[in-house]
Amino acid sequence: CEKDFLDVNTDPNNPLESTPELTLSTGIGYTAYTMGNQFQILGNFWSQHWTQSYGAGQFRDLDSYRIQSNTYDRPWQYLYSGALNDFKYVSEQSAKVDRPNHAAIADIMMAYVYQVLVDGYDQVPFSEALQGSNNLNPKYDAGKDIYAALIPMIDGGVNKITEGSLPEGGDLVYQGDMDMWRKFANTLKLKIYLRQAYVSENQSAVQTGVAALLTKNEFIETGEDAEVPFVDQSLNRNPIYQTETTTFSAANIVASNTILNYLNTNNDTRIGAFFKRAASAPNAGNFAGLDQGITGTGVKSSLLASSFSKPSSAVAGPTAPVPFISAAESYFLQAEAELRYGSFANAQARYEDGVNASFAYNNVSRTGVTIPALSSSETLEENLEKIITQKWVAMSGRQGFEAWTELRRTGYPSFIKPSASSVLGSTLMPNRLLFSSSESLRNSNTPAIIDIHERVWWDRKN
Amino acid sequence: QDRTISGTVIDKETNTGLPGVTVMVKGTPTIATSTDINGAYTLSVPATATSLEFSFIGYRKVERPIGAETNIGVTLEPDVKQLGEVVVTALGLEKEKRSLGYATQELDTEEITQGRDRSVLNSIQGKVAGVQITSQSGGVGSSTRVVIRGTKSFGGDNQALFVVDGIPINNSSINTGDALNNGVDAGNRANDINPEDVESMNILKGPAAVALYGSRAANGAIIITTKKGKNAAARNKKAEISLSSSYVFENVLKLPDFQNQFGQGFYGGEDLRENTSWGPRFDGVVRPWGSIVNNQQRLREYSAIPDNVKEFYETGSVFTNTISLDGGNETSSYRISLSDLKQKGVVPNTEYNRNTVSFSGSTKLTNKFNSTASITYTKSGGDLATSGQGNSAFNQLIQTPRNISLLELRDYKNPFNDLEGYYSPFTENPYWILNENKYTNDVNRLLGNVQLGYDVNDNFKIMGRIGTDFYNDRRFQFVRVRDAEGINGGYRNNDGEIVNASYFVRELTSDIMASYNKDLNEDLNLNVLVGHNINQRESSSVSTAATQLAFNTGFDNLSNNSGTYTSSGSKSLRRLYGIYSTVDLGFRDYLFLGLSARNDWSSTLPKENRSFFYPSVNTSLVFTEALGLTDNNLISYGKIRANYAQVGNDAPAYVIDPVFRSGNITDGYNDTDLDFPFGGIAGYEKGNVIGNPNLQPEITKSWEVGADMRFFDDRVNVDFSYYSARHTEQIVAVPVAPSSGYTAQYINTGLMTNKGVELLVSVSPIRTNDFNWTISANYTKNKNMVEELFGDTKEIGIQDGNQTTLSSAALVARVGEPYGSFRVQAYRRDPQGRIVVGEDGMPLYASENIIKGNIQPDYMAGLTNTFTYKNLSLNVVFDTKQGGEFYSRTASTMRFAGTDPLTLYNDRNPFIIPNSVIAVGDNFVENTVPVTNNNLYQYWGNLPEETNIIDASYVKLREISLRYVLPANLISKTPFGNVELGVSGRNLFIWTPDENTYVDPEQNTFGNGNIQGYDFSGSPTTRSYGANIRVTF
Repeated sequence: CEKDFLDVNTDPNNPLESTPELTLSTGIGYTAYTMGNQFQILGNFWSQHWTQSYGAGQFRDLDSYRIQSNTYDRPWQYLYSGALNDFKYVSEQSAKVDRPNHAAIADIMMAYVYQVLVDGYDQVPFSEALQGSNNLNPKYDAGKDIYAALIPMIDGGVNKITEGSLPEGGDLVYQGDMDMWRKFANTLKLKIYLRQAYVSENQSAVQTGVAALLTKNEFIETGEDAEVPFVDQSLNRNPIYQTETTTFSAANIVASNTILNYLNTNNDTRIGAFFKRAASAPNAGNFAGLDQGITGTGVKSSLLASSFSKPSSAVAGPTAPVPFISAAESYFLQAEAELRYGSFANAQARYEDGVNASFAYNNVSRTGVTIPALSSSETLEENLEKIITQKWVAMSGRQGFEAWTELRRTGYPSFIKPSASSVLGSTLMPNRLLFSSSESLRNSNTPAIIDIHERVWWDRKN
Repeated sequence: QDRTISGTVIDKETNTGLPGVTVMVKGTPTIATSTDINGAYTLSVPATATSLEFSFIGYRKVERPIGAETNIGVTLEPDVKQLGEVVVTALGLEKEKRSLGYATQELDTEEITQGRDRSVLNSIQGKVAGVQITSQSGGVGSSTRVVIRGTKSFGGDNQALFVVDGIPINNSSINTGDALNNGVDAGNRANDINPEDVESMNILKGPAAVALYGSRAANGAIIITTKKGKNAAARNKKAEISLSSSYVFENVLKLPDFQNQFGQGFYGGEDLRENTSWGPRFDGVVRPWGSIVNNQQRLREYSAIPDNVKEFYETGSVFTNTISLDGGNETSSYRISLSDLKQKGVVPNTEYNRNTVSFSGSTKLTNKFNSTASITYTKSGGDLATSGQGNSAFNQLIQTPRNISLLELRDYKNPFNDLEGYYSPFTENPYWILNENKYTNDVNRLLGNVQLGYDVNDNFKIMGRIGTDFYNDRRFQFVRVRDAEGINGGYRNNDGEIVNASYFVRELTSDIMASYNKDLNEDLNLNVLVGHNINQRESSSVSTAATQLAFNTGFDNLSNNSGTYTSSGSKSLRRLYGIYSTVDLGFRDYLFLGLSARNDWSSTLPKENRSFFYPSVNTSLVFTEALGLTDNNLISYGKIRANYAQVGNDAPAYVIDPVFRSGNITDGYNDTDLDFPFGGIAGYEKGNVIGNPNLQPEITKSWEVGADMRFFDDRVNVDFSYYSARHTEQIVAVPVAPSSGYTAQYINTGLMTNKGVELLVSVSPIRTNDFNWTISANYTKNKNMVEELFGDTKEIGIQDGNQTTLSSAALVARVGEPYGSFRVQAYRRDPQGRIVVGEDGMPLYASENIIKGNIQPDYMAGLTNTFTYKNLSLNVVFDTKQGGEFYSRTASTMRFAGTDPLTLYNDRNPFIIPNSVIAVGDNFVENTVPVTNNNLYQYWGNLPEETNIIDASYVKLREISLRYVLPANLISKTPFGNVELGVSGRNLFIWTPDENTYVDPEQNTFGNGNIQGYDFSGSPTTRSYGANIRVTF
């Protein structure tokens, strides 16, 4: 009697068990939400696609590089306790219930997320992470050690792929097409290798790894972008759209003149795919931006966001997808790989593929647009600048975090200068994120804060 | 020679004749008589007699000189020190106050109702020591927070338990999920009680007093005894009808100070579209303002409208009527009451209504059986205003440029004021918000209990009681589609929303107890009680929302939707049973010892840990009696008391097992979530809370000493308590490092302490038959400290359910600080504490937020002066809270908008931030770069949050009431038994420190839970004043 009467403590509101299908979708959702929202805004500001408009100030601090340790608590939390913990569950549970393909996707996505974390923070918890109450103070592993572990993690995932056993659901990216995940895995590995291009002590491993991938030649191709589409219904819309356009009345983000000048100078037709024309005077009907980080000194508030170009709906509309790796990016990675470790002719071809993939993705014609060709008479760095600059253009508004990361690694586009309101002075730019206070307050192994202009481990280029 | 003296003795309590009073010639017990049923007497006295003595058991003896009088009437008042003063303690047990080894404080019906406040809780503000009562806003039907002897739990409910006639009642507050953007304070359920139905309130402060209630009352208890039918037959009546009416006006107590020198604009120039007052200095020249509509524009002198915000608020009112009927005879009695309360808010278009119907009856079935039953139905609710940074009217008001008249915006459909024509795209017409949007609630509640007693014999009694409290709260929210075109197009437009939500809460309590009372010998009395208690609490909710309205009209059915519907529901059930026992020993009516013990079994704890035991002991000594000092007038009464108690507490429901949750990802803003199903695909994430199968109950250990002393024939009364409590093994959702894969775990951890002093002093400087003056003061000092948290964790954020605070100004519990400290964005400072600025002369922020201020007051005090002259009485209550801080979003917003007088600094000319430096390498040199006209707005609009932490001290003139009781002889020929007329006022004045030019620091926008101290664009608090009448037939 006593037993029955008091045995009422099973949560009736939430399930105690899940399935790999049902939890893979939330892991991918967390990754897309983070890359498509806070990190999207961060990256697009710091790689100078977007800047803060007058009359509102939501992202003024971002433009000034005035970041606090709690500014990105939420992404940190979402990547670890959201995405990674879900992927870990999927990977482990899939083995028990015979869902090998779900495990494969989870392993590959876990590597994707860890790379983002290392690129942002350099050292992060890895080997001791995700152990729940067994370890509430996971140690921070060095970025290079985590990078070294990512390749086997991806390979392990790929090895689990089982033909004929397509997932029943939960794959928001490729709907269970495991051939696509193989290509994603290869492209991701290429990205991981190339990030280390300036790490001299890793050169042989990088070279071998890249060579194998180029030989295999199974990368994401045009139309095969790895991305999460959003849906135009309440609480299913693109997060930038919901946050910036709906909540902040689109009053903050406008085009940075850094990218706008580039696009105008080169008659680049993608300008209309990335940005809207200004809605009101004095720039009504034109593409108009602001110099990165200028604070509206002396400018009247009638010059509002609507007097400037805002992100287009293709980039920040309700259904705008969030790419993890785009086809254009895949080609630009291959172009760099060929340029460094393969054939120049292939580099040229992949570079053109990348440019074309970007135009195709944006549904605009390349005709009349100035795209500098790679030249065998130029140095590797001169050609690389063209590749990375095109990559930077292709990522505008959609892959801000990766654009910022590649800017750090290569220094390209070289015309990017620190924001006018930089608090780091006129030479320094942010090169990392601060350790999250949501972690440092609770994890005694968190290292002391490292300034945001300090470089991460692979950032070695002079 | 004898002469005849006659007169009437009036009972001060009831203002009716008091039968049975002994009237005696002083010094001559043989010449005496008693008053008759009407209180009248006639006595023949010898010429030598000089004075008469009037005495009646339980009343203070009165002596009157005879002189030449032949008619001597007196009024007798109860003598509180008399033997047999009984108070209602835990479980509804009546005990002699002198026997209690712990502090209690009683309030009678007069103290509760004299200010005519709608809320029985607000009514006792300033009158009780040890209790912090905070009315949360001036919004209609808003909630009140009651915390006794300090915050005890990191994450649990810290509010007192409310017990009505022995049955714990629900005091939940169901607030909207998102107080930052769209907060609504829909009240707390203890405010459903009609103050006119309350006979008395007894506040049980410490754990020893409430140990018998077990875990429910870990935070102290407020024991409410409702009015019952009286033995009317004894008063020669069949029944008594009483009618009480009051009408009070309400207006805003404190509005911010505004600057009145600069008007609408930006960067010092005119800008007719701005919501800021950064424009040119007022010059009185007639200029156009607002939008151009059909080539027309309104004209107005460019000058300040100092009262533009004040003019927005209306005069509110509360009209309350209660009628009650009671009657009975020696064996049975009953009482019926009906009440109606209508409140019209100071915020336009807000209202609150409350109706109660209650019945109580008791009867003796045979000589051995007795039973009582009562039932109360309450219907309450209204049309409420929202707070927060979104749709709150207040938020629009404080940003309105100083030269814009809010009254001119009232006609919100006028083309100059409508969505397209409204002057600014950055704020909304507050009248549009209040007229077009709606938030209503409708609570239907039933409270009932039945009690049956059987007296086996005079010593041995058995009693059983069962009570239930359930309510249904239906909420309805309508957010009109906002679809502005033209120059305001694109700003703040939304798709509208309709939300229907329903909450059901039910609580069931039963007690069975047996008591044995016996005088063991002439000196020793024994009272033993054993009992069994069952408590069950359940709740469920369901909510459906239309998220994109199809019609942009007032059509407010859920079918008005072209988007998706979002739905949610949840339920909760918890059970507890306990057995308890008390043993009370009394020695010669002056030395008392009480022991209690209770064991609980709770459903919310893991099976192995679900049983927990806790004891208490209390003792008191009436030393004046023990030492035979009863006839001494210097110390007329003296009692010392001491106690020690443990109280256990169980866990929240459903925190033992880890769960998966339907995916919901948010960036903290309203409606920006990614909510699964996502495009039709379901998703269940691994929950972020680590389960804990090893949870233990929480334990509070406390001790208390006190004294109750009365001097100079009771003219000076002092009641003093010192207490110390340690709250350990708390069940806290401790945040954990996200890299563990989780964000929180429920564990037993932490230590919070409360130590405090309570002092009650009352003095009667003047006490004559006609004129009395009593001063009573209370003082409370509680020192709260967070001593330990989990492991190396030094700090946790405070949250209520899913409601968190701001990342830039968070409320935290930090080791070494009182609970509820603010962690705020701060200036970057050099080692000497000077403000570090950037190359543009503007301040930089510190890379880490700092602790600045906390919500705990240093002390609280109240002062009541009561004057009575014959039938007239005047009561004046002041109270104060000193120390503690609050976060003011009003300050932040007004600086941003340039409406704060602070923004007049240096007459808005360029200035170098005083004592500021600039970093050069690792050194700091004096800053020479001024904040210029051009970035003045940036400066004031981006001050670090530490500047918005404001001293929360105040002094309030809390209550004044004047009451006139029509003399008995005047109404004796009328059908009336008693007629009282009164005027009263509450919260009439507030005094705040100079730095608080903003709002009443008592107001809090985040509901009445643990998140306190946030002024976040809520409804300002109000003052009220009005008249009242009470008549009995």
